[in-house]
Amino acid sequence: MYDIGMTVFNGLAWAMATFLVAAGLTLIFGILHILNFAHGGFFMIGAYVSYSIMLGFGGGLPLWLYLVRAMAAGVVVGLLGWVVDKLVFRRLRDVEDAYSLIATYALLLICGGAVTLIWGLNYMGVMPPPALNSVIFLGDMFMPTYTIFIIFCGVAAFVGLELFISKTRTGRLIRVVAADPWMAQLLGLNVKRIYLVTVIVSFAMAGAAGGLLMPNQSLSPELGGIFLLQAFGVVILGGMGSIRGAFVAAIVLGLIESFGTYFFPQYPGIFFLLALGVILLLRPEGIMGKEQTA
Amino acid sequence: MASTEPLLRVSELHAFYGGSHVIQDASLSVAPGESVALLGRNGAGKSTLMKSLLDAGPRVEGEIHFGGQDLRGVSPDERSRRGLMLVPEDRRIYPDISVAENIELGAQAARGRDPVTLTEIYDLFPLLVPLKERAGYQMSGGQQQLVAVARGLMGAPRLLLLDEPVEGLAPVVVDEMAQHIARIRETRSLALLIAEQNLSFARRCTDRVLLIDSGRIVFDGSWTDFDADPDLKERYLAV
Repeated sequence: MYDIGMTVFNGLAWAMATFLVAAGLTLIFGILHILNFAHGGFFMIGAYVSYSIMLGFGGGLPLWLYLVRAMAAGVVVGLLGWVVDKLVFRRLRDVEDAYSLIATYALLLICGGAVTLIWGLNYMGVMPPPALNSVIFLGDMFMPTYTIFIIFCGVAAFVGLELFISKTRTGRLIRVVAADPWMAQLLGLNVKRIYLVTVIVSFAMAGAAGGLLMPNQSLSPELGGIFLLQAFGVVILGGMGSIRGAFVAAIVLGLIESFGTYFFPQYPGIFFLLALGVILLLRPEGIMGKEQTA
Repeated sequence: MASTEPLLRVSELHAFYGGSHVIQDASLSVAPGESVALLGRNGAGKSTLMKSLLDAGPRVEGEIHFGGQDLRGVSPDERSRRGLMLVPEDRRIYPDISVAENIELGAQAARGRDPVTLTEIYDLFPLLVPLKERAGYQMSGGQQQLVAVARGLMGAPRLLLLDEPVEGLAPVVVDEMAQHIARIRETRSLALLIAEQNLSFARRCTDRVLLIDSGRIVFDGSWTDFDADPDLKERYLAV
């Protein structure tokens, strides 16, 4: 029992940390049909920005300030999203996918370069805030409060994004534009602005994810790539552009990875890739491939 | 008509898809409140002309004035918000939202103008009342067309462009559509440009005829003048 419980717990931790990064990635793909390789780069910038804010406070933040700091990183990266949309994404709408790949990959390199210039190449370790630096015992399972917090954040991000897309006026317009941008403009919808809002939301989510997940990682300019691979796996398996699909795929892959590592501890990080390959062979369109952005 | 500034004035319009020169030197005008038929065979350029007016597809050269303003550099969505509303041939109903939600989307374009209320829409299209909650994909072609027209009307257009509104519809539905359009013209002050191949429908709904063939406007006049020259029908509309 102990082992199964802990393995599920670890799987969910993997799943929700990955979903926090994947959510913004699948959102942009679902609406703008741009595969944003730079997403991990902006996630990393979010982590560094919140690191700097934390240093400004002298470290050891109370929980609410820790959250505010992650949100502030989200705002900063969201603003970068505004710039990126104006300078780059707007030009990618009517060109072939290859240009998008090159452009967003270039952005990823720029993110890495910017981080190196501003924060340097040194690895920097970050501890969870004191309020989340403890362990809860449940029977003989021990669950770090920080990990519980991340699982909670992943679920909250999913619910929040779902509500935003399905219940708010802006969310409904986003869905309309995603389904048929040509008709949307003929109905007087400012498609460019709706794309801009989508990009800002996606980038803000990447930035906030960086701020929230920072204590899991040591900060280095390679951070951009670490979650990106997992996040891409989740986005692809979920059915490109489906938020619900990405959420389910994150849990599926997280559990497989976690159980795989439990049974074969000498091969960490392999099982999610294996599972991704096998599932896509069986179901190439992904878990919710038909249904875009819902 | 000659004394008033037309609502829409197009001069020397050319439109291109890639290298093909689809609309060649088209000039036309539509007066406020006027209803004009745009007749022509399949591929004559009716749809391309309509899309050109909104800058929604082909590359366009030439002048388009709407409501006295030059539309050069004005985005398609801004054109729509100024009251130039296109109901495209393929209707483009959003399949995953309800009929009511589809219709309400049209209101996006009505900002700043006398808005059309949903009550008004359902008065004009009583057939839509029982369909309100239905999803877009659950409708017949005729129902979709009604929704598309209702949605366009919801944007309080000053000029409503209907691209083949009765294509593929059963005769009884065509008749209903003609009645709807007559009622729209009675209740709202708007101009219409209707691309059609169905002559009797076009005749019931419009005051004037534009004939287009191979991307050129080859006739512009009243129905009486059009009928006076049977050769026109033979040359440009017979299949």
